Amino acid sequence: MNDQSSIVSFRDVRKHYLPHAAMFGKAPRVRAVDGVTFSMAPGRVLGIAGESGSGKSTLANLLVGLERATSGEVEVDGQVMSARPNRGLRRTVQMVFQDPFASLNPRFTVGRSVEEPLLIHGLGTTVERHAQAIAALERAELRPGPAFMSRYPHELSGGQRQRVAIARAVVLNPKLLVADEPVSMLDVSVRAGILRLLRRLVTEQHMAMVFITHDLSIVAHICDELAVMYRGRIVERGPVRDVLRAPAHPYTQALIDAVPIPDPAAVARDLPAKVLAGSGDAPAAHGCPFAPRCIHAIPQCEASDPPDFFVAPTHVTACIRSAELRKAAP
Amino acid sequence: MPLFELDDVSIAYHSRDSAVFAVNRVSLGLEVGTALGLVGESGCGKSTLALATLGLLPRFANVWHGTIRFEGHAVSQMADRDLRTLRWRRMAYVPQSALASLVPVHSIRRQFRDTAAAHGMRAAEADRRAAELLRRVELDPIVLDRFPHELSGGMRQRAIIALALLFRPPLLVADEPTTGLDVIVQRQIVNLLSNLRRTEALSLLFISHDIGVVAELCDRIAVLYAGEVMEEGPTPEVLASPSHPYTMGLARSFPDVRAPDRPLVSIPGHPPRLSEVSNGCPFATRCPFVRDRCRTEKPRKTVVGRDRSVACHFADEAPRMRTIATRPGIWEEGGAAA
Repeated sequence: MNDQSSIVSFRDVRKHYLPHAAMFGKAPRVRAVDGVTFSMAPGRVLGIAGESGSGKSTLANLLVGLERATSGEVEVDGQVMSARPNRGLRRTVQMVFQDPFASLNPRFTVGRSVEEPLLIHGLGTTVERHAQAIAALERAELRPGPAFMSRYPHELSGGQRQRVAIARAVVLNPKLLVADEPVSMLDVSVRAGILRLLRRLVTEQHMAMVFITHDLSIVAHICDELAVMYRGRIVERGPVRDVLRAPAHPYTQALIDAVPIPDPAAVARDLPAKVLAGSGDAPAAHGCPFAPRCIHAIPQCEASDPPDFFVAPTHVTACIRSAELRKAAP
Repeated sequence: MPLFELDDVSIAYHSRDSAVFAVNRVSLGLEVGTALGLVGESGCGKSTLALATLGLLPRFANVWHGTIRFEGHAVSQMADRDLRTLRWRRMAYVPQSALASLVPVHSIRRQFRDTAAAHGMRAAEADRRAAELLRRVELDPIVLDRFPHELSGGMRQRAIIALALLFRPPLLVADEPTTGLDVIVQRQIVNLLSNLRRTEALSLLFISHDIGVVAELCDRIAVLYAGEVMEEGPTPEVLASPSHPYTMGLARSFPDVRAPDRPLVSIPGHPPRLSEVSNGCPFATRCPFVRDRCRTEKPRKTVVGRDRSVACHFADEAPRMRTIATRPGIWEEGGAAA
């Protein structure tokens, strides 16, 4: 897993938070990320899918060094990520946020927003920075670049703003891009263009990208691999099409079945009431976190943490019943 | 007679020295017991239409032209005092952000009681009805004594739906009621609305950017673009064989989780600003099938098939356009980055 070719590696990473009440020894710790292991090679896109509270945003914060892991090791570009990564390491990881209406300073011109990372890192002369910003805008398909430099965010559409945010992220030539729901605030008709742009930049700049989303219907259009998170753990991981076509974890199956289908001829799959009901707030410290909602749960599921089972050489799931359930499936 | 009807409605937003039109000559109807989905992108006028239906347009906006009728009343010409007798009792509103629409410092019980009191229902009756409605939306009536922040997003949205049903209104206007919810929670709300439609004989005006949710919930769909209806008709037929190029592009830009290999379309460019008034088709600047006539002459509503209409000069060429529209490359021409 941790060979020379990987740009990011997580080894049994945990991030636990103590709620305020815990100072008095009562409330349990919040296990936002609870034993996550993976690694990624350059040029690859890993999708992290999950619902709110699954830990996917904490994972992003760990990747960019905004949070420090409680235990385990986060390594980016061969260096350990700590809560205050050095400037060089910060340069190698850049982020694209969800809301391009909030992530750009409304009082900065596009040019100033895109040049700012270069300025912070003390790179180049004024003339060079200007040229690099124009080049980054053009890489983000805002052409001609010079025409966009003096414009303000309010003059741009949502899709154009997100392209500015992407230009700002790639202007430093990062090795890892972390994109947190980068199309969920955009109009449907421009989403595919942003996904294609991100995919092209990953290939051309030989970056790795972690793509965080709650929307399983878009992951196939951008990701190579998909990891599904539930309550801080990766419950399934594999090549994106394999996971979507033959999900091996009951939670992945539920997520897929819940997505509305834009085809009125299709009959939506019913979700079991137990899955729909949700699982309350406090998960047990041991066992499969999904067991309280799972219609396939047996007593062993709650007895101990499920290990990873290989469905295929690159497709793993943390479900002890995955093998028998797959046999039983039609 | 339709339950509610928009007859050639234009809605203007006014500033000190000018006005822009967010809705332009829209005619639509909703029959009793049916659900109409309004779909479109940001700025297409769908929320403005919802607010106008409820007589809730902000002070600087008005129905400039045409009439909005609800149960025979011309809502668009009614005084606010008279509108108050219709709101909640005859038509209720479910907004997108359940957190913003509940009073944060009042218990759920208080919110039911205040609404009831404002429209002449006693507290005891409100409590009884609230408990019944909460069960109806699959919430335990103990949430009556909870505050909004103590409920999850899905629970809040269900509480809002229960509150909207307090006076058993025949029409529910829901503006993106599932946007921002987790996918499994969204499934709960869609199932709930679908059940309520059947058991309470509710009619639904459902506003969404999500074709998937509309496909599941609505009998009819109206596709809005830049304040105009591009296409309208029975949902299955419109989505299976769209007649307007915009619908063709929109349907293909919407991903289907079951078809990961189907290429996604991105429509180049962006909708015109409200201040850019065009004499032609508003979609002309982004349409891959555009011809000269589209830029200069506004297309009239053409009836196609049973109960369907489309605003395109070349509606009779729809089958040919549909075939071409399946090629993603066709949408990339024109060049302008979105």
